Order: sequence, then C-alpha cells, then structure tokens
Amino acid sequence: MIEEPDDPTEQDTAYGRLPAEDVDKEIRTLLGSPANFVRVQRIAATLAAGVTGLTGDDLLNEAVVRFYAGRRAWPRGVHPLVVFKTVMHSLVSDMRKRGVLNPVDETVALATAGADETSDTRCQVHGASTLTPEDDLSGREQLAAVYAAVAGDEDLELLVMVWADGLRGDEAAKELDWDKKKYEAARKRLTRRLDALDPDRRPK
Amino acid sequence: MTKPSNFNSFVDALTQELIDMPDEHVLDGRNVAQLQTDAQALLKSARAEAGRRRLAAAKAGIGAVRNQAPSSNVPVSGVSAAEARRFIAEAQNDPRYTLAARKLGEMPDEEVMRLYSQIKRLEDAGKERDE
Repeated sequence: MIEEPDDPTEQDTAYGRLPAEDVDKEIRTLLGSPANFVRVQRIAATLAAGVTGLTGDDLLNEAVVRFYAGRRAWPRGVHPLVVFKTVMHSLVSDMRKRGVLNPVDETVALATAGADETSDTRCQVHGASTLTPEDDLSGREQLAAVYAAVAGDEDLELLVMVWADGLRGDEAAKELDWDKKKYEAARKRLTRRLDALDPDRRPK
Repeated sequence: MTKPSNFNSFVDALTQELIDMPDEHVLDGRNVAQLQTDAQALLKSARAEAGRRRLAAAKAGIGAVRNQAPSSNVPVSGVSAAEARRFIAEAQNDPRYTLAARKLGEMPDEEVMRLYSQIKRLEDAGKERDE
C-alpha cells in the first residue's frame, strides 16, 4: 500500500514533490479526461461512503483545493489516481479522527450521568464512542456501505470480498474461479454500482 | 461469506482496477459532455477556494507579524510559510526544543509562522546569553 504523503514537509525536497506548476498540469490533465474524472469520482465516492455528511464530490473538491493551496504535496512518479486516492484517504481519516463529520451517530452512545450534587441540576450527556481504533483503521463502516451498495448481487459481493482481502486481477479471478470475461464484466458492474454511494449520483 | 476484512485493501484494489480498465468500460452509460462540464466547474471552484485560503493565510501571517513584541528582531516577514515549515521540521530534531506532537503539514500557515517566530526568538535569546 502506498503511504499517504501527509506532511508536505516530508516531501518538500527538490526530488520528492512536484512544483506547483506541474501539480496544476497533472490536475488539469486528470480532470480533462472524462474517463479519469469518472475514475477519481468513484474512488472519492467509495472513500466517503459510510461517513455521514460527506459526499464524494465534497471530498474530491477538498483534495483539489488542498493541492492548489499548497497544503498537500504531489509526489513524483506516482499515478495521479493513486495520488488522489492517498490524499483523499488521509482527508477522510483526519476528519474521522477529529470527529468533525460524526459528532453523534450510530457508533456513539449517549450516556446520561447523574447531576452534580452541588451545582448544575441538568442532566449531563457524555458521548461514548463504540468505534474502536481497530474499526476505524479497517474502515468497517465504509466497507459495510460498499456491501450495501451491491447487496443482492452475489457476484459483486464476492468481488468486494476478494478485493478487500487484498486480491485483484488474475489472482482475484482465480480465487473466484471466474474466467477473464466474467471477471471484467463483474468489475465493470461493481465500479458502476459505486456511483450509488454518492447521494448526488444515486439513481433516482 | 467471510466477514468484511479491510477497506484500505478494497480501495487500493479498486484504484488499480480502475486504472487497468479501458476508458469505454469506465464511461459506459455516462454523458461525456456533462462530465467535461462538471470537471471544469470543479476545477474552477476549487482553484477559487484555494486562492481564498491562501489569501486568508497570508493576511493571518501579516497580522501575526504585526502583533509581535517590538523587541523581536526576527525577520519573519521575509520568510515564506514553506521556509518556516522546513525550519520547524529541523527544529523538531533539535534536543533544545520540545515541540507538541503535531503534524506540521496539517498546521495552518499562520500557526507555522507563529511557531517559527517563537523558535527564532528562543534561539536569539540563547545566543545573547551565550555572548
């Protein structure tokens, strides 16, 4: 897995990161290709899945803003889609850590505690997160959202499973005992289904 | 079916598979003209927002310099946020300073400039004592 170039200073060498004008060219080239625009939208929709209040378009927009604002480094020699994937992944991870997106959600139990005897008589409410660091790292909620998007199509559920197990391409096809044609057809269907993860592109 | 395992692995596989897929499979059923319009709109609005954030950071940086104590002789105004970040990154490895465990890359420019100014002042004070 490619690590997130999270801290621009770590990449801030003449060799490690692209200068601003080259970053501009990379972004314009990527977004200038309709196919690549769809690709990056699907990655964004998937990363934003299961995160309340965040759409894929919000996430993609924020990543582009950060690049142009000089807040994120663009590493040399890495595919633009991988660069966007790692930066958007980092943004989602940071948002989740800060609890900006999910101040109260299904993973947070609201516990009422008895009022202090001496002062405030109002009930006090404390957020108690049931989301463990392990859950957060594994993206359990996000993966559950992906499974929900393909629910009812067993082939797609199996494909999600093997990709989540770290297999892809020929290796994944072999694991599923599928020929190349079936694998590519399922891959095409799966990636299209991911559009439904973004509320803005959900079929009406 | 086994339990969901690893979302990161899924996203890595998805990204690579999307790269491997032919454009016609990716674009199947999509309106290319609309995609081009949407992409250009995204580019335009993101560039405008980035400009606003850079301007806000620059204004905050100037404000921070103005608010410094008159005794300060640190030439912050001639230092860019990128230079200040590099300086702080080096200072993090300097045993003379204990810096809070924060990701420097996540710090707003104004905070970077403030921290830079503080470290420089400490350094200058140390030099004066040594002299």
